[in-house]
Amino acid sequence: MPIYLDTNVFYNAYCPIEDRIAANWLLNQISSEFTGLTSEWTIAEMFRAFKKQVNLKSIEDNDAQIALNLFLSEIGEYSQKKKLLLIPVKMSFIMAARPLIFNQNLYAADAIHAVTAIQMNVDAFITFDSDFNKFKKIPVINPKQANFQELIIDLKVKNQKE
Amino acid sequence: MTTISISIDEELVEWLDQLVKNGTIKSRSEAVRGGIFAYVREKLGIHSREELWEYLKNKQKKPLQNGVKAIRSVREEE
Repeated sequence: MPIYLDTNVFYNAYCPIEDRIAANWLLNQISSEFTGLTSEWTIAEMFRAFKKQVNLKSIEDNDAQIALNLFLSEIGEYSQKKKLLLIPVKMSFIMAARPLIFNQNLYAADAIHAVTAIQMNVDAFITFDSDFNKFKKIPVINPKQANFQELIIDLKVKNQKE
Repeated sequence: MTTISISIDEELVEWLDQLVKNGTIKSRSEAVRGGIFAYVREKLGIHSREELWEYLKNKQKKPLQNGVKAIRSVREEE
């Protein structure tokens, strides 16, 4: 079964920041046998996150566009090679998000990511964001955990056996 | 998927077909699609995430936010 990649995994992989190493390692692990999966909404969040870096005057607009074009080119290629599945935000997912928003007080985007992961039966939800720790329906793995690489390799091996 | 027509030299088509025949590539379409991604990276002058990190490191005026902070601010904006 695939693993769900939260937006912060992609963002970290494309930025010169400390967490890039773990995020980059993870993106290098996914393959057609060990598929990554994310919502198409992730792409819009990447656009907005880079625009915010421009607004904060960390980088110029042109540099944000370069980063996003590399991101789009790579996820396009990953998608073509079936390493990454980009899942559309369907009406059924939006309806399934309702109880998460009301009962667990999740933000709308968090709920969409969570529901996409649940509906697609992923093995794990990979995120740097500890807010998802309260999410009990799927194992949440944070790349900052000491045993992160070990957990991913275990999932990979489990996938190969299936 | 959308089908488009493109102009391409006959020799190139022959070569593509040979590559399909010997199993190097699955189809002409796969080659064109793969070529587009490689072409974009060539035009950007940045071919990998590692090259992007170096580029942004030199261009940034102050450190970029980390992923949790950046994406949380996107998700929580009014």
